[in-house]
Amino acid sequence: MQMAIPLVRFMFEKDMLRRLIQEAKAGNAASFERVIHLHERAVLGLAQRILLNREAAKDAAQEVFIRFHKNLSRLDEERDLGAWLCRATSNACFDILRRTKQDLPLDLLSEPLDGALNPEESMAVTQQRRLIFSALKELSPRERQAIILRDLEGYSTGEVARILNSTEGTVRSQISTGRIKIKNFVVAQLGRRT
Amino acid sequence: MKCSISEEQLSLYGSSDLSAQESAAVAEHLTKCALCRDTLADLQFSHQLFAESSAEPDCNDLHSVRDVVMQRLRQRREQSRWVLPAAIAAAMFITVPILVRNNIREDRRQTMTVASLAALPISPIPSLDLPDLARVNRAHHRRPKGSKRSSLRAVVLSTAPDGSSELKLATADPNVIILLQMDGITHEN
Ligand SMILES: [Zn+2]
Repeated sequence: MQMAIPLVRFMFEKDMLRRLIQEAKAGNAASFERVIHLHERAVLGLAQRILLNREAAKDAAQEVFIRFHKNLSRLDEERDLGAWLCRATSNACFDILRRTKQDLPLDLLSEPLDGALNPEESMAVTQQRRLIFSALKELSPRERQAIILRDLEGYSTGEVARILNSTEGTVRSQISTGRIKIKNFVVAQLGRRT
Repeated sequence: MKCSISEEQLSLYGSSDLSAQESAAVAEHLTKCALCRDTLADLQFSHQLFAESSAEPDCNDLHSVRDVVMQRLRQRREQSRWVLPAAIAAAMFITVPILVRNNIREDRRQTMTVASLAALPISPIPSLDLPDLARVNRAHHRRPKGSKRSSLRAVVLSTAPDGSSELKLATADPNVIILLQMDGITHEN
């Protein structure tokens, strides 16, 4: 019986989402807003992880939801909306990275003020982020997207390939290169582990 | 000693990205190569830092994204609501000059209902796409010989408190003003 609870909840959410999308298709703005509400954390989070910049990530997320609304009539409720949004977010971020001539400033370094960290922990998080964000700048946009989807968002290499409209072989090599570049950057800054 | 496995294989070790054979070969190599064990430790450490570094979105940012999206969608809806009235206004602009030529004498003022617009959903009018109207006019309105050119110069929109609206189209000819109203269309010469 313990397994039944999450299953019921999952079904309920899926049914609710399907109903909300149907209503949104029929022009119900409140239902569309609910759909955004259910996915905004995932979309904005992914955009932040790829772009490392707050304003740019907000622009990307807005673009994704506007595009989502434009494509609403063609969208199949049965299809995995999460993967569609993930692809749209990756694409929107890729466009921004390509368009941006200079590096975007890294302004996501510190924890939000309502975080439950004390000042020392907060400082440590900031330093760690600065290190990793700087390392991520060594990666090409494609390598950055691939490694974030694979290592942070938890997609398999095959799924990442489908999201990025690429092949498994290419994605595997991007993930490997990305991991090695981050490792080399961290070793150069902090020294070796042993 | 030259290593039989690559750094790429090490970076993918421990996941389904390596075949079973490759994984076994890496595991076997690691038992006897301290260099690769160190490289693997570095990879695992930096991977851990990377995994811990991701920032969760701030609530204010989430709100702001949602607000901007809903606002932009509202604006788009407002605009699309005026596509039909704009099309009718454009159609009027094609036909009215002909009627003007046929029915209006220069020395007297005349008001004439051209079509009933009672069924139109005319409520607050935010804006009309003036260049589009002007383009329609140029493309379709063949001016009869001898008639005055009356291309569109300005659009004035007003909405009364009771919800009725009127649309005033000023033309190049200062004597010709086309007026579209909620319940009918008149033009003044
Ligand atoms: Zn070795």
